Amino acid sequence: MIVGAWCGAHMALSKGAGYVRPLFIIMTTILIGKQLMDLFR
Amino acid sequence: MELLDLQTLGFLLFFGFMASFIDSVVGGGGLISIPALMWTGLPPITVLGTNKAAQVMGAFTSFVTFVRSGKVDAWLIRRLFPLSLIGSGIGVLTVRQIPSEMLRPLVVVMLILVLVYSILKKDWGKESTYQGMSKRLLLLSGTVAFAFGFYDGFFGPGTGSFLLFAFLMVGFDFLGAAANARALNFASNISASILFTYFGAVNFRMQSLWGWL
Repeated sequence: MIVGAWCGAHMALSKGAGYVRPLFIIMTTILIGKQLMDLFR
Repeated sequence: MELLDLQTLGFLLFFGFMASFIDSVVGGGGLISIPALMWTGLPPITVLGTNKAAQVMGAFTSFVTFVRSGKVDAWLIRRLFPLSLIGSGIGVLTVRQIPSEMLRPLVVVMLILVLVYSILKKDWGKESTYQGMSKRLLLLSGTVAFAFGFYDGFFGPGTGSFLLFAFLMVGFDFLGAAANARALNFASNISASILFTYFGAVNFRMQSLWGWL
């Protein structure tokens, strides 16, 4: 978790808000899918 | 057996890295790390505890990285951090008394609203418009920090998205919102991992491997 978090945070800092927005949208979409799957399982 | 152990190690190294890489910015790493830990055969409650105890190390790393970069609003986080910490602790204690599954439909609806709003407002969060907090907004932010701290301890899915969205709402850009959201998520992870450890739900061998990665 330390190595991954270090790399992830530095990637975000170097790429800026333009990188965070799509990542946020993708992860939220996947999260909705996972919650819906759990809900109807 | 040795080959299987190497496979397991490689599997954990890869998925642990991916989980923390994503989790360090927008949250949601549990979507990867929890199934990966389940694959090792640990009991579900130990998977949750071990995951939380490992996540706190990643959360600390991204928190420190964002603080050093100046992206964390120290004034604000100093006030919200304890509320998230306490909220999460109460959430973990509450989940032992009340089933949390009932929250799932509400969480789905809230996540869809967050997603639709974020997609429709294309220019939102490109630049920071945050200019400090009024007393009223600070009180509201404190309530939100406590509530999502509680939610993280009680149920958890989507905490990263909700926190990031909340910081966007008060005017931070996406990077600033992610940095501040990670700070509060670090707080909620601390309490949760302490309590999971107290309840004996952490596999420290796995946590060490997983946490340092």
